[in-house]
Amino acid sequence: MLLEIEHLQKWFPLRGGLLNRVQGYVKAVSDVSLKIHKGEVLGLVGESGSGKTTVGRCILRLIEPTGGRIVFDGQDITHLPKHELRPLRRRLQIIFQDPFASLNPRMTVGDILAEPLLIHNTHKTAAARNQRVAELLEMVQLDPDMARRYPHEFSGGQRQRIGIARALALNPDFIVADECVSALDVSIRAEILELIRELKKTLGLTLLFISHDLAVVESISDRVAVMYRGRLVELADAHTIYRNPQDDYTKALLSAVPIPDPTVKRTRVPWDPEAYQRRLDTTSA
Amino acid sequence: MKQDRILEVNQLTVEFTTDNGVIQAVRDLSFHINKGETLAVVGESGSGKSVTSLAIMRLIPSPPGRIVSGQVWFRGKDGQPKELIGLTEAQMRRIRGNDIAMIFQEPMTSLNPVYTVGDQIVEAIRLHQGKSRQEARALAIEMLNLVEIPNPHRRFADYPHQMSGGMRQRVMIAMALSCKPSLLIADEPTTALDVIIQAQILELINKLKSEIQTSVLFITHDLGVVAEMADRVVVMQHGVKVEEGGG
Ligand SMILES: Nc1ncnc2c1ncn2[C@@H]1O[C@H](COP(=O)(O)OP(=O)(O)OP(=O)(O)O)[C@@H](O)[C@H]1O
Ligand SMILES: Nc1ncnc2c1ncn2[C@@H]1O[C@H](COP(=O)(O)OP(=O)(O)OP(=O)(O)O)[C@@H](O)[C@H]1O
Ligand SMILES: [Mg+2]
Ligand SMILES: [Mg+2]
Repeated sequence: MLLEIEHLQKWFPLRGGLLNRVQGYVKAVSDVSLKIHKGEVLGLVGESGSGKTTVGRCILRLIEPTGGRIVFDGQDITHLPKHELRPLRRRLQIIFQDPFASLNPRMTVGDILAEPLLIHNTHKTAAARNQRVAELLEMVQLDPDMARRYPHEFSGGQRQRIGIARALALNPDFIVADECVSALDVSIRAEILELIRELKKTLGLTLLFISHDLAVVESISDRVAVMYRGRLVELADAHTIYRNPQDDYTKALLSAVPIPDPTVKRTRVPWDPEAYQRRLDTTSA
Repeated sequence: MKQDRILEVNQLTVEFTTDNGVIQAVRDLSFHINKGETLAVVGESGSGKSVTSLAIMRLIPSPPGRIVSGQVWFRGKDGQPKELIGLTEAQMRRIRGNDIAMIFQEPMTSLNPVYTVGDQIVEAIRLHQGKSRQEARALAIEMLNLVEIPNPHRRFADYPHQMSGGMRQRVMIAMALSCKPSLLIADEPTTALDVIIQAQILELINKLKSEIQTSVLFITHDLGVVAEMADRVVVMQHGVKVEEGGG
């Protein structure tokens, strides 16, 4: 077991009024428990706004959980102070959902990719770092010459690949990949997914793979978890969940995937969020 | 420009000057969109799709970018064809967000982090439509509701960073649709949405299309979405059009 989350909870305070007092909470994550084995890819899908990114950010301790426990490689890291987290930073990485917001606009891509190598002192000379940077760019199908360019000089999909390269720089054990292939065309997407499979095999890389693309999740995941409004509503191995979904939201979700062939019309499972929410509330009460 | 066309791009070439030399991001590109039609633009990452849409909007950062040659003919709400590349910035500002609205590929690049999303939608509405603050606010909340943002009254006061990735994307969509544009440019508008909400948003765009004859330039990697939305498709590669066909 590499990662274990127990009853994770994250509420964001809602402030307002003249004194900017806390007037309530957004319960982004109300109760999520899951385990990820070493070398496993756990797909995380769900409604937009259901708390997927929040779960990912809590695992990396980029935000503080309101409740619950996070155990990484046998160590409870839920409340680990910042300086004790540092050695773990090398092993735990995230690919952010919004690549532009996560790349420093004033640094060249080469410097962005060399930064973690410098901070963790893994590549001692500039030559060694440059070589690693070129290697990383090639891994994500970018031209090593691009190292001299700035983030705004790239296309959306190119920026996304820079985010992937940065996460891979230190050969981490665990990556939260948040919509990491959403801006990529099918052929580059296939190559990035192949790269992940390869790293999984050779380095035992473990991933929490957050995505709205259900076909991608199916192709890369060992197991799949489905979130709805702050909770997990289904968790099963990938094959089972796609062929035999149990939960009503999962069923509706799978049936709504658009099909590339215009002559084929899929029948959508009717979706009634109010009725579903009522059922959720009664079963968890 | 033919009567039934809303947009005609003729031999457009866009360059960027970088430390590594000049990049031709778009080369000699021509295509058109008919009134009420949805044209999908697909193509590999870095092939020039976003640059094309930014050039139509005259939003290419310059320097380092430059529209080297070509024309963009556009028929606005007044029915008169205008050539956009030759317009002044002031003339162009009247067209942006009013006649032509754009949903940007990365919402955070176009949402202002220091204003609430509600205020930003209200501003966009007030800029082009003679509406009072109250009317604009009511319309903004209605739009947030249409794009499936839960508790729109409360979410109105959210700052962009307080929303999820998909909610930010939907705010952009709400803002773009609120002005009922003649041409909607949507650059990967649903990548952060689950397929149930995506289907509702696509339906919303199609409704606008049939109600007010909006034309759509739809950039996407998702061939399922192409099949559902597009009347015609243009395929780009390395800055040039390599294929064009019916949807
Ligand atoms: N910093 C924050 N302050 C306040 N609320 C927040 C903050 N971050 C997230 N939220 C709220 O928490 C909820 C879950 O957001 P999250 O980003 O985790 O969703 P998500 O499942 O990743 O959605 P998407 O698929 O759209 O990216 C949303 O209601 C969001 O508005
Ligand atoms: N400001 C800039 N400076 C230099 N080069 C740029 C700039 N903007 C874009 N480019 C380059 O122009 C080319 C086309 O970029 P564009 O953003 O149009 O691609 P795209 O087709 O939208 O790709 P994606 O699907 O990845 O979003 C890319 O090679 C990109 O690196
Ligand atoms: Mg998210
Ligand atoms: Mg693009």
